[in-house]
Amino acid sequence: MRIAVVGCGNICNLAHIPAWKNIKDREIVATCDIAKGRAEKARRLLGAKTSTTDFGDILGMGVDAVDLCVPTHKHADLAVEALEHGTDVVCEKPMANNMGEADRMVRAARKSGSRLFIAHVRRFDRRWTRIRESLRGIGDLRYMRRSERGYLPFRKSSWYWDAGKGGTVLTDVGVHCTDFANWYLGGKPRQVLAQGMFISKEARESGCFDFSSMLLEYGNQKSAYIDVAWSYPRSYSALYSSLDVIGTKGRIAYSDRDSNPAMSAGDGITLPRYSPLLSSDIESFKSQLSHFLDCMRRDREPRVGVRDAYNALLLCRLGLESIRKDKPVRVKGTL
Amino acid sequence: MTIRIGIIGYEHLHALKYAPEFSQSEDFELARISAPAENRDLARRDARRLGCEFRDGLGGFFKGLDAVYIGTSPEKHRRIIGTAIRSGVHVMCDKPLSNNLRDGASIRDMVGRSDIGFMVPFNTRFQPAVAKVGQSLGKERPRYIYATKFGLNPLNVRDADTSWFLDRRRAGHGGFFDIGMHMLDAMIWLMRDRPERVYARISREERLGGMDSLGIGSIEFEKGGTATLLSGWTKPFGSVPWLESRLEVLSSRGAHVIRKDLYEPVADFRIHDSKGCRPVGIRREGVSSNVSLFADVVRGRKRSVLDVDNAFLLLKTLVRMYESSSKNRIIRL
Repeated sequence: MRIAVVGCGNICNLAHIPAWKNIKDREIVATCDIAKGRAEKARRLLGAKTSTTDFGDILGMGVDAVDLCVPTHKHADLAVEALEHGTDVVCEKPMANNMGEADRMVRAARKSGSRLFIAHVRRFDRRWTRIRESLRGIGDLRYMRRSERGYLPFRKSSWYWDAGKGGTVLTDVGVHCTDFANWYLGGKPRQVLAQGMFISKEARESGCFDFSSMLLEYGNQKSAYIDVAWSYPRSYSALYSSLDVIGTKGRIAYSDRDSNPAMSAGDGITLPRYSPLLSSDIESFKSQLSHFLDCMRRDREPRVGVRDAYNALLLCRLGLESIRKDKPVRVKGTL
Repeated sequence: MTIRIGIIGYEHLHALKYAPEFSQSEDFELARISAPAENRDLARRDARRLGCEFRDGLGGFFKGLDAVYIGTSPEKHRRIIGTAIRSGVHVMCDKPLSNNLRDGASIRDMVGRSDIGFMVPFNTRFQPAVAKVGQSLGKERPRYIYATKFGLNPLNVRDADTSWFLDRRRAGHGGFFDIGMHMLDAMIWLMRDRPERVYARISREERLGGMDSLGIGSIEFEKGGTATLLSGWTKPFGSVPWLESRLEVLSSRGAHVIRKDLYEPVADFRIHDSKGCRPVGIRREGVSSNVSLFADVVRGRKRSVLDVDNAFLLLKTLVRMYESSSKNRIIRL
């Protein structure tokens, strides 16, 4: 498979490059970034033939797929252009910054027949897949908490702090958790109620929430609570995630920073090594990208589909609406 | 001067902790125990073991006493507290203040007009780990608190009759109310602010006769902080310890995480701040702090922070959460 990596910033360097380096049966043809130096550095690391600052060049190279690691507000334009060109797309989460952009991506994928994969990597993290397999042991599910919190080390000028580009922490990090909740509890919630706060100076000055929580009600007495933050101390560095799932017959609880990360169990459950700014290990990203390539080759449905990504994003956007309206919001418009 | 105290009621199983504590305390003399309802055998056994008188009923119970501990189910609190006030006897009343707001307000007013010392004990804020968070915060208010507290389902309690917990007429509400109140006190104390609005989802279980087992409630405080509490009866786990909890506190100074697991007597306490992450093991304490505080209250040395107003605030906050859940909207206190 001939691949181009587009967007050679943080997530690309932290996760995608290390993951691609460990995947066989692929050729990284080119790298692309608006900053020439970043594109060239990524080219060297991946052993690609060429680098460019022009996305149009990439599409002209006849690649099979592009791996989009660009800022959220650029996802839709680049994805749609690639899909319409007949190129498959792997796109980092969140799918887009608003539902209009997400709709454009869905329409482009449907019309072109090209494949669109959204990188919700939590579904490839062995911890969460193994815990999910254990859920039947705790009876009918009643409640779930998923928390992902950490420190955002970017200056106020970064696009993260622009709510119009990144969607605040509720979209950027929260979308992991809304997808997680849908994945674990099954189905779609009927209603959401969210809160947002400005805790750090950057958040207050930019008007972009760096803390948010949301309660999602699924019916059948099932609820999920998510809380996400960029406003924790630097010592958190890696995202600190917590998971609680409660059923009628038991409970599963796991917080990654509460446990010794060096432990391996005989049956293969391994608590992974941590890298800065990530809550899933490189193995998860490798597993994810390999899976997407496999789906492209064999024309199979991925473990996490466009519908899942769309609905996860929708819940975040409805959460922001709930914050604006200061009341619960019914969930409508899911795929 | 030793304070002569009597214990009324073994329905609320906290009496099993308080009886020996009062008996051993230098401040108190455990004079007598009465158990008008459930768990009379346990009460009789404790009276024998601790060397005090046992009585079946409450006739003449208050005579010669300076104070009472009330461990009955909450629908009896108003009547017994009224009798204590008329007898001039100080009261430590186990939570909740009452099982409904009307009686809770009546108790608050009665106590407010009286001269007795009054306290509803809550342990969590006195746990060394929680107290450490309070010290660490200094004068700063947290921005966010998330807490969980889980206890045994009453159906799974062995060697005691806890069936009244599932009787709405007596208990008022279920697991979220019963277990959550402990942690709610600590959360409000740490926040140093008054709850302004609440929103909750509390599920009722057919298998518990329509009582709730588990609930989640969010609180917005007057000065802008927010807290979320998940609490209730989880099953089936082991028999001891009773309670398992987690407390996460976020402020601009840093973040604290306290985790007290089921099988550990030591709370895992982690401080994350500008110096890094430091884990500390802190042993959990029993009810001695509450007993000492009550002695000070009785002797007039201080007004308890766990006074009737605090107890009524907790009752009101939780009752409003149930109202929020049934009406599916945010409720102002």
